[in-house]
Amino acid sequence: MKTAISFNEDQVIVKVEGSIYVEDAAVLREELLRLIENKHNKFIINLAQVDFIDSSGLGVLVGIQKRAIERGGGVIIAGATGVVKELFQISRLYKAFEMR
Amino acid sequence: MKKLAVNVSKNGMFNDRCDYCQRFELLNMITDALLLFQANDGKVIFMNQHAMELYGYTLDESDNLSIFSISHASRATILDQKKIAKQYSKGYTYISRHIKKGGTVIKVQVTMKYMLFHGTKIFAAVVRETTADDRFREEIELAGNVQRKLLPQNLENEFVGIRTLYHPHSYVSGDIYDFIFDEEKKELHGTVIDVMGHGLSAASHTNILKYLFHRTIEEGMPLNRGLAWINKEVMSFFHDGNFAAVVLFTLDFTAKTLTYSSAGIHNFIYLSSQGPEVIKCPGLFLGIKNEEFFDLGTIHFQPGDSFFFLTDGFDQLYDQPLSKDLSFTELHTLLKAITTTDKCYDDASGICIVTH
Repeated sequence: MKTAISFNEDQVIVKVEGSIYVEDAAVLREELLRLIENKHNKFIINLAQVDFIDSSGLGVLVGIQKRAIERGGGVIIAGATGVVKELFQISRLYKAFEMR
Repeated sequence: MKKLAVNVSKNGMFNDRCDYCQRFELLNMITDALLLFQANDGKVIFMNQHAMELYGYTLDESDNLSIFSISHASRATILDQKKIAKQYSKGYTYISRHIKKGGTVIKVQVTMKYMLFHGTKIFAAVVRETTADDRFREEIELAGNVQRKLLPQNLENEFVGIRTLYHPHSYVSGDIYDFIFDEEKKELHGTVIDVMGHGLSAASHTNILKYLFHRTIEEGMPLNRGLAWINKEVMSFFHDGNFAAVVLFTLDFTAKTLTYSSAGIHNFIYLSSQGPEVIKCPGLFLGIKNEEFFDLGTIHFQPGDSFFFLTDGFDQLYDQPLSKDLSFTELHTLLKAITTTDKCYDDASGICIVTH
């Protein structure tokens, strides 16, 4: 898994590439938590280049979403395709995130 | 470093190296116990703060110690350990037993290295007590055994045969199953539970969910309403991104129907005379959204049909599509084999049910 972080005004854009398994999820979690600690609360997580995400990865996104909402922001999931998109649909996580 | 100063004056080893000896302050910053003892007679010339705490000696008391009074091993064994340590330039690690001041024997891991120190041949030993780690591991193993014993075992009666799967990734599992056969109503109620994460915290959550599953049966709730009720009940337990996947199902052997409702267990396998079919069952995980509704699905089955409810620990570990010729026993055997391979890096549990 690789991540690239950029900023667009008050939004943090996190572009993720590869597969997100349990170890990757822990890395992603810390990266996103650091951003929250630095007062960011609006995230766009771009999953266009992600080919697999397990429940740990979903857990990270859900956790960050909860924290972001508590701070007046939120997480937008963008670009999900294939298996990842299907996972968000079948698990109905689209109800928990804004999907683009 | 008073202790060192005392030894310096006693041994005359470092008389002209006071500035250099400030380095011993660094040794007190190490979080493991560290001993320096002379190679020729085993006399301890330095104990860092952690070593004094581990063994229970004061600085003055430590003046008269030697490796032979600290180690529980025989003199011959200690000499062997020293001999071997001399051969390992990066240090020799072994498990031993050491003696605290009061006589208590503790199990320790020692990494010992032979070196020259101000021209004196010494051994440096980093000592780590393993007793606490061992006790902690034993406790977790015990918790795993308790969890395993609380799971229902295989069942065989005139209506149904059940084979179970249980594979904790590490001692205790965040994935469990449970089922109850109601002989009076000729119904089988079951659940498969997968709490995100591994270990004791996930296992604790499974117990709550298992209890709530029993409550839904006692209350006679429709499965989807039961799931919605469980979701509300567990909202306060899940935070910081934790959630659980749960499927509830009932097989009615009078009506020959399977009814199911799922929250995050995305599918199950239905094996009939037509071959295997993956039945998708959408539903949001538990613990994410307070007011959530869940679908209710029904399948009419024929005797001989079978169902496999599995956690996602099995995902991607068997070839899909499944062979049309697979029997119940063959598929169960295949899944059981997955749990014993090193490919299974997650908790994995499930219930395999064949109807009669």
